[in-house]
Amino acid sequence: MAEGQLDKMSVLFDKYHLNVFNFYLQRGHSRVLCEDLTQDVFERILRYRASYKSSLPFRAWLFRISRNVEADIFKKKKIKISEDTTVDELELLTENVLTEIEKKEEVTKLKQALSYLSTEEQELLHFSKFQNMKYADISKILNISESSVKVKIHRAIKKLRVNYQKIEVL
Amino acid sequence: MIDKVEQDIISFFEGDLPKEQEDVFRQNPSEEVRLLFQQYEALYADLGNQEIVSPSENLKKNFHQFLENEKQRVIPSQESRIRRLKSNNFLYTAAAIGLLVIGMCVGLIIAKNASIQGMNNELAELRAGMNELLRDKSTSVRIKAVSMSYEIEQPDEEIIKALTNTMNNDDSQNVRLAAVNALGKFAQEESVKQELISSLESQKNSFIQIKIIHILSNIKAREALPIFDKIIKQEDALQFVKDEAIEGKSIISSI
Repeated sequence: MAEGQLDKMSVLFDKYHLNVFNFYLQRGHSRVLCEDLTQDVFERILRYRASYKSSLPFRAWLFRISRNVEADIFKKKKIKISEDTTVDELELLTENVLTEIEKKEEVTKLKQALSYLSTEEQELLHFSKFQNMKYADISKILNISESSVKVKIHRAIKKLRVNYQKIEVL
Repeated sequence: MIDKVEQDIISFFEGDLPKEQEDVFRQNPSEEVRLLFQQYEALYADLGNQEIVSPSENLKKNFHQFLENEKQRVIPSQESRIRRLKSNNFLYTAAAIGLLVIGMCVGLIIAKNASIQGMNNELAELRAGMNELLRDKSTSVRIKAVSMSYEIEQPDEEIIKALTNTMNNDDSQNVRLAAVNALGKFAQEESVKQELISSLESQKNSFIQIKIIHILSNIKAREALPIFDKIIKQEDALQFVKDEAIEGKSIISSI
């Protein structure tokens, strides 16, 4: 890739890294893993840029790759540990995980209600309500029809309302 | 009738009905309809106000470093390819560089193996720490302990036993749910799958039942089908749990 194209990659990263990072965060991964996965996504975009077809909206392609990266990581069940990580850095890693866990304790009623939905339902609502994507684009990510996306989102919202009302305030 | 109205309310908030419909719902003679509309209004407001979380500065830094490395790799390699073609000493130079690279790789592999052994020891300490925290009196500490399992690559028998015990016996529903989520990440392991199926059979908490049903459905655990059938036929099971079991059954049975 020429230098100019690598600079374009930087622009794409700046524009979309928050979308990808938050996508992984809502899947329940730790912040550290979310950052690793996000980096992997953009490295893969760089490597497979030739396979992008302009008929597909870029964000749909981006999230297809994001889902594949996550699936690959859990297939291999790898933790990315740098060969240079020292004992001190591992302790810091543990501390960062605990700090993040403390923040997670402020679980909102919405997050709790969402967590009782299936993975597919959570994903559909994330794309629709958080990433503000149209049904047509979501259908291209998940390889299902647009009408199927609509039916599933309606069903998920209905369940979410039921969960919302049932959650006890602790 | 209320089901149809509910569908219309959802369609309204999904943008499929005109704004004028709002008054039809807000001023509906039925209190049930008005209440339903308010509930969905609050839900959609919360959905629209979800927080965007930013990563640490490391992500940007690491990615830009990666791009810089790519630039260094791509541009010099284009220039040196031209020079090599012109050079009479090409073969001797290539051999010398090859030997240097081999030497460096061997050195790196030796250093990496020593480092990974160090990592394994530290992970064993993490596991021991987690077990101790799971016995703590504080709910938040026990939730932290369960979350520590996310950082473990391959759970051993001890960790699975601890998480299963937490899932089945902890006093707090939130801690039990956290344990289910943690086990869900390892659900492809046969032992974990079996523990989830056993737990589903004896669970009384409907939210935990639903979570386990989702996990088993996602991994298409055919062995769970008899338990799903049992829940569907159970008289005292809540309808929304039965609905999840029916949906789970269709997911597992699909090709």
